[in-house]
Amino acid sequence: MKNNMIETKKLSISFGHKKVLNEITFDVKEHEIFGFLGPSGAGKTTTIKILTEQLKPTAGSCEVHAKRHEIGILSDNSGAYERLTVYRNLCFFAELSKTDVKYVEEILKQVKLWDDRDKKVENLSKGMKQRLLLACAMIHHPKLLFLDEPTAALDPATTEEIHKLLLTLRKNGTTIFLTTHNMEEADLLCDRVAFLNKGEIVELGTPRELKLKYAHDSVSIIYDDGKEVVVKKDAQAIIKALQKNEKKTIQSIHSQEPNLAEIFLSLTGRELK
Amino acid sequence: MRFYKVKALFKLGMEDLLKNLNVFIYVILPIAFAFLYANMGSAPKEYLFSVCTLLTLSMVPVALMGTIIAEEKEKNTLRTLMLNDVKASEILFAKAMICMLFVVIDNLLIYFILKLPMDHFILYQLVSFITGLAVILFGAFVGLLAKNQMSAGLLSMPFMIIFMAPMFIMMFKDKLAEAISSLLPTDAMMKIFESITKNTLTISKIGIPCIVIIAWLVISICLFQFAYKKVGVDN
Repeated sequence: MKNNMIETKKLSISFGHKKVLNEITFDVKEHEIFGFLGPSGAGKTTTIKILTEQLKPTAGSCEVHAKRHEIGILSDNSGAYERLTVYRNLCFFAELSKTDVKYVEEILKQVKLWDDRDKKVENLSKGMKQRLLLACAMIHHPKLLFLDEPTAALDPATTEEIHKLLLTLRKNGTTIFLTTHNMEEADLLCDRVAFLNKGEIVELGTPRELKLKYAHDSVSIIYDDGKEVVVKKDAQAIIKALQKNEKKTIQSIHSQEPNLAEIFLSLTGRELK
Repeated sequence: MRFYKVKALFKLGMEDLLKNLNVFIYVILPIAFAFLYANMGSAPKEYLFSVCTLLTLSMVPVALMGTIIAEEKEKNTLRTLMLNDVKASEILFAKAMICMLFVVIDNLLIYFILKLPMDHFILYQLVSFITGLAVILFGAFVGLLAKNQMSAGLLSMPFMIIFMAPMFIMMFKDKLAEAISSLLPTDAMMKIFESITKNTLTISKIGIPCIVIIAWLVISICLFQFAYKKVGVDN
């Protein structure tokens, strides 16, 4: 059984009279990608700030089983030295963590910035900058990586590259705590997800578990002519529907599973934006 | 404090500063004035050295220090550093080292540009270095308060004017103004310079100016600690 990398118990924080997190309890297992999902203002970044000791909780407890130098953080407002080159920036972060500078080449190739290593950061595109910041966060081989919306506002190609990189990191043993409001991303990457709404965790589990739990009680039959027939998920209803259209060619029959965004909407009445 | 981190921060800070002409102007300006003064007028070289050193101490440890800290905040690199297991004290120490290095370089160049005799070279440099230490924490204080480079420039202005005040007060010969000015570390430095030039380095001549500089050093440490606790580095 995997050990817990992060454990929180009834974690709460208030700013003045506003309760931003209300008794949230969850754990993150070693070597998993844990998705912390919720709309803007739900409390995702605040949770990261508490877990990385930037903020103190008002109540409850949290334990992170990694030392300060074993943690990598990519926050929504990380920055790099704009007048210096990509290579120099990464060398600097390597020096700070006493990492062998030889590793810089390897990591720049991983984030596909090796060919742009001599470019000044101020001349990089947003996606390239984000990849550089990710490289800075993981240059010291962290055991635990906090990523706060790492693909927000990035183009699909860059997003895909970052996804591949995160899956490689997980495979190599890094635990990743990922906040996002992109449900497709969470579905693709996360071993487990927690839904955060107005400072409270409203659901937690693997994407598969949640989809099954909130699955619709219906089956969709799609015919070649594009017609879709939705029937109840019982054998007789399905056979009856098939008999009714027996002359048509079936393109697909599948149960209707909700996606994570739909589950979130049904739980909270809010869309993930 | 971990010195390998300070070393990395110092190296990077130097590289970054040399590529930032907007800020590097603070370093160049006193040297440019030394060139200008060296080639015009007939004022004593020792006086010109005092004036140029005054300019250096008002610009480098105050305005430069404040601006480079504020820029780290503005560009979010300060937060990135602190999230990468770098302590605020390590960042501030590295920045102070950079500024003090430029104080020394500026004062050396000014000394050689003005072609001052080498008799009291070490004494001049030592006094200006210690005075620099007494005012550098005001630069750090500005950096703590400012949110960006522009506000750092604005906030450092009153400190620059105060530290440069002895230069102007000298011209007016107003007793009250002179009395107030004598409480400034830069005024104390100029008085010690005068004693060095006139070979009157006695306790009665430099005792009070030395106390003034030490008092400013203590006050600036207290003020800085107060601001640090109140505001934090990355406000």
